[in-house]
Amino acid sequence: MSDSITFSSLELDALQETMNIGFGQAAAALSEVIDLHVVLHVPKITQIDSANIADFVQGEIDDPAAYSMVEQFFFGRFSGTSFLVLPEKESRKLVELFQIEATPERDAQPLDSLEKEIVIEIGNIIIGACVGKVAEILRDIVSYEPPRYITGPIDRDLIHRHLQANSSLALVFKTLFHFERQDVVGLLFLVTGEDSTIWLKRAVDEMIQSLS
Amino acid sequence: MSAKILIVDDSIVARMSLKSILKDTELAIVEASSGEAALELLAGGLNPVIVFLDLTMAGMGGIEALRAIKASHPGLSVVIVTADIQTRTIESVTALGCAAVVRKPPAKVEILNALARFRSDGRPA
Repeated sequence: MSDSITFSSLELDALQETMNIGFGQAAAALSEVIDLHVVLHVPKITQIDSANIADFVQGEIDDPAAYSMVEQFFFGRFSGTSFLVLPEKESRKLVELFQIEATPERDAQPLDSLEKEIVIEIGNIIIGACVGKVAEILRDIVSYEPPRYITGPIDRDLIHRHLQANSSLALVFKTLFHFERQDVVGLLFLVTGEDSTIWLKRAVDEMIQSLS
Repeated sequence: MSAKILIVDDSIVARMSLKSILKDTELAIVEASSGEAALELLAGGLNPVIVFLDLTMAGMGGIEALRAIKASHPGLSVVIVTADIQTRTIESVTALGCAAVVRKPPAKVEILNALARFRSDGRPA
């Protein structure tokens, strides 16, 4: 975290509320595409030194080898890296929503290319709806790189490499995505860069002023 | 004594947003930062004409709070103001007796319409 950027509790509350709306939009987008209900949890925002982001993310994952993730970069004044981290085996429960039949043989294998494409699409819907809604509320427009599927272990080194690619630091937004009926829990992280953090602070200040 | 509105949301900014929309109504606004706090206020005798209730809150969630409010105050109108706009969520809160659902960020016209339509004293906003 840059020494020059600090957020007041009110600014953090504004960011958290904005992110809450973004996650809600993501859940609604998914439920429109497939028969999937997401139990929403209160998002958490953490100000963190850039060097500690990977440790923080890994600290949220109990077994890095069991997870995979969908990663997507987004660009605008609001820019950064987003990644949806899912337990790889349980991802298949989401894949089955697309009428791909489960078999014991299939369950024992890693996800095949079609299944990975489906998980990427689920990640893309979640990330796009969430990031897009946050950008809209804060009066920005973002563009995206194509999402990528990354297999584990989702450990500190892997996360650090991907964050470095985007010069990421500063703010981590995290929420649980609990796909209720499938009993799959994923974690969605958005990590913003320093320039974006400066802009975010200005944008939420304007939002707060408009409400006063 | 002016009629009261109860706003229940764990976000200060979300409460500010609703207060900003409602500031010209001349109704007194009471705030609660959790479902538990809202129930305490109601149990203590607060008699609002309407409740605006968030769903995604730490501790007692809005659905649980809605269930408790409708059990103790069945005639009280509760408008859900939420980011969770999934069909099943809306069906759930409707089945529990909420008066309306307004998506976040709330549009002024939707909040004022809900107030005019559902306030329990039947007076114009």
